[in-house]
Amino acid sequence: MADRKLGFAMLAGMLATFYGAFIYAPTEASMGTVQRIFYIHMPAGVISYFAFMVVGFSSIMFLYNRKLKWDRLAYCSAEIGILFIATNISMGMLWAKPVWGIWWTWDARLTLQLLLALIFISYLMLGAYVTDPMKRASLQAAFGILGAADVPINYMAIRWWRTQHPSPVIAGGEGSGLDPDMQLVLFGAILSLLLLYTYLLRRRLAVERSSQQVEYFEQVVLSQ
Amino acid sequence: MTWLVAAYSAFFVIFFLYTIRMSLKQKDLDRRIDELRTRLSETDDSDPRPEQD
Repeated sequence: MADRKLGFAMLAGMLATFYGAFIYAPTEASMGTVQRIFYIHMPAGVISYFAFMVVGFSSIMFLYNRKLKWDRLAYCSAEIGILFIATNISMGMLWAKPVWGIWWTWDARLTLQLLLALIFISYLMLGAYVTDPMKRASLQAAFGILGAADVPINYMAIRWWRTQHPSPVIAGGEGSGLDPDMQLVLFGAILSLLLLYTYLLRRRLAVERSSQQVEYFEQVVLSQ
Repeated sequence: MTWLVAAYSAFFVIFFLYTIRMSLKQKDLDRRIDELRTRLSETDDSDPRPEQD
């Protein structure tokens, strides 16, 4: 029931984001319509950071108390985080082509973003190669903490190194900022994507729990 | 504007497909759990449950 309510809230949020990005938000003066991609690009990046921080926190909790529920949470959050970071990178590329004239450049933020995605893809792949659950969970926890430690560096990259990526519009110091209507749409989109993340995480965790239940029952059947 | 709508729609479609994939997997796992429970109850009256971690 809670999942259904969350699902409806998430769907309403997504429709509101669509409306906000295409109709409510004013057109940006210098870039024009292409700037509207920002309302998915940036929130997807924010949620991917959040998802990877959840991985880091859950990994620390697993190493602290060795309970596999933390490993499950970390694994599921990493998988969904990859979906969000892939959205962030691909939407950024779609924006870059008309604005910069190129799809990709090895700028500090872009490179670090790609590195972060690769770290968590490796994190998931690691799970497929180690069969012992505790050993796998410990290795993944170490990797997850390493990946989460990369998040603050990515966040600060556009503040520390002024390369091609635009400077931050939120919390970017003097001269930064957004039109109030654009800001409203942006924060609404972040909230909608957070709902989407929560919904997907709950569903993914349920699948993971059922999967472990099946493994357990299969072992019981085999032992009889 | 058209390609922008297409990009947004692609985003929604990808996440929608991911949700559908999870629903199908969940259904499959639930069916498998029922099957295994039935097999176990045929050999044993007790209903074994996995240990909670």
